[in-house]
Amino acid sequence: MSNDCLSEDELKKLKNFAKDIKINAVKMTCKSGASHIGAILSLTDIVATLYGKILHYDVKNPKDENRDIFILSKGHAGVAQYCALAEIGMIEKKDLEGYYTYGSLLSGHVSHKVRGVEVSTGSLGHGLGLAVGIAYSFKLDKKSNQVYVLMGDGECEEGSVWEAVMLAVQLKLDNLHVIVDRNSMQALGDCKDIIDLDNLEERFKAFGFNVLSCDGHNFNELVNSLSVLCEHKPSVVVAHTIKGKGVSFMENNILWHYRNPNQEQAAQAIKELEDYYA
Amino acid sequence: MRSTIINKLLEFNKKSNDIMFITADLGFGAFEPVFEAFGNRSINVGIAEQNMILFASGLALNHKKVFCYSIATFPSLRCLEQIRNDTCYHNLDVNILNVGTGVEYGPLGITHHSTEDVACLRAIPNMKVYTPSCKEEVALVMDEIYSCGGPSYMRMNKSGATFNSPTNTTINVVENHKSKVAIIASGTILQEAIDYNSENDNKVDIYSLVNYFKNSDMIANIMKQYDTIISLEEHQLTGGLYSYLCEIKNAFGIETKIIPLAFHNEFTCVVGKQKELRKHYKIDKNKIKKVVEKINKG
Ligand SMILES: Cc1ncc(C[n+]2csc(CCOP(=O)(O)OP(=O)(O)O)c2C)c(N)n1
Repeated sequence: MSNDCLSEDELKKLKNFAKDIKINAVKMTCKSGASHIGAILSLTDIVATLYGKILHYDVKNPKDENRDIFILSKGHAGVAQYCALAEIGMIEKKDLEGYYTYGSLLSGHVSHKVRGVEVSTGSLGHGLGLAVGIAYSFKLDKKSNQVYVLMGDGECEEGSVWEAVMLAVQLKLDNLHVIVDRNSMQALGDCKDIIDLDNLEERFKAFGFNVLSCDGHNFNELVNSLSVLCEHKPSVVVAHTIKGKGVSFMENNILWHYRNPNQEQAAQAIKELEDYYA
Repeated sequence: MRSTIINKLLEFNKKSNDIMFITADLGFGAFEPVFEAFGNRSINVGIAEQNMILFASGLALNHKKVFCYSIATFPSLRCLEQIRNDTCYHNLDVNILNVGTGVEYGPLGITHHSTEDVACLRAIPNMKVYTPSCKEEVALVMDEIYSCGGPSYMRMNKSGATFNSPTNTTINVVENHKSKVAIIASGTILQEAIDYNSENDNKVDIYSLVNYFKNSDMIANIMKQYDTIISLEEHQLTGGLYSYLCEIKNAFGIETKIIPLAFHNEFTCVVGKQKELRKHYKIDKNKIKKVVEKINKG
């Protein structure tokens, strides 16, 4: 998966896209006191790749019939989606300022009241089942829209995820693309010490998925993996990531699942992110 | 009642290509005609009720009208959060058909008794809870769901009470004797009230309450006409019919006294058939007789 499919220019654009999302996210969690910055930094490169390169959407018409569907199942990282929507012009950048405060539409967990968000999530383990229903409805209507759902690895401990996995395989939903943000951490620590999800790829394979694995911070690998279509099989991309990616003191540090940065930490984080994406 | 929903589904299927039927591995020996007529628009998702509701919600997000079928607590409590977050919060056209509620599956035991479903589901915003008592009311409700959409939950039993002239989906007059006491029943347990009247001289007016979300003024106007209302339900006391009538009484400032016949917030763990359990837990015609006698004695 290391073939460079992106031109220098495209790569630069995606990097800037991800950088802008992350910097906004740091500012927003700092200002609001909201949690989950580690989880947001973990999946931002995936979200940027989706909105920057993979998804078909119409900024003028968020309900466009031919759009692809994206569901952020780990809704606690909603800030990344809000920021991406602001970057592409689906919502206004100034809307981000109200995040997490009285009267704003932007709740901590991602909300479908926000323009461009398909569904509200926040209780883990719901997104995939919804995505399976949507994907099947496209099949019935003989439409070629694709459905993407981004989950956490800890989220895969929910039984409902595997109920949906089994149905997706049974229905041969090759228009369904699951992405697992495989940062190997969850809320209270490392997955391996809680529920060991070792060989996650093998597990999906055993259930009948087309399985791809990539570095979830490498844009070329992400684009390559997310572009794969496998006839009659749903696909999963296990994207290996680092929780808190791009900020040294947050990386792989479970404290940043819940903690929010203070002013000083935010300034430091932004500086590091500028360097990381330079 | 089950054959009525099957017939209605087959009828709707002729009118629309967007009707879906989803089951979580229940309905053997009954829904085969639906599977046949619906083809790839009918899906058995397997024994996975959370996923049934998620899948149905996903379909409804893309303009499908979805009917989900199961029994007991499986399509309600087992997947309550999916119903709340996904179906109801997104206000989707997902319609849950539960045939096998109250203690219909009596001897199967507590896991198959659905005695808190009305309380749980009617607490969720947007959810339309229906509790028809007979197949004619089921037909009216099915038509309403078809034209008005979900989210909805219909609580049924395999066979209904013998009452064949309902006119609406809110509250129907079953018997009118110009009494000072009336019974308002919710669901097929209505039959106990009908049986009470047919076996006793001291007859009371009887109503069947069909929905828990609209036209409460209609219900209030009926309640006002009586000194005492007996609420009759095959459900726990908390959150069901009695609670609903008390809410209406309070909201409309009605003086009428309400006496509840319901399970008293206890697990129905005695083994027996539906009729036997109604008798054991004192929500049957014998109990109605005692209550009416007591009221009449003052
Ligand atoms: C059903 C449910 N249970 C618990 C939570 C609380 N919670 C929020 S994030 C989280 C950990 C998620 O881990 P993972 O899916 O690996 O995502 P990460 O944050 O590590 O990227 C938990 C337990 C929740 N949101 N939903």
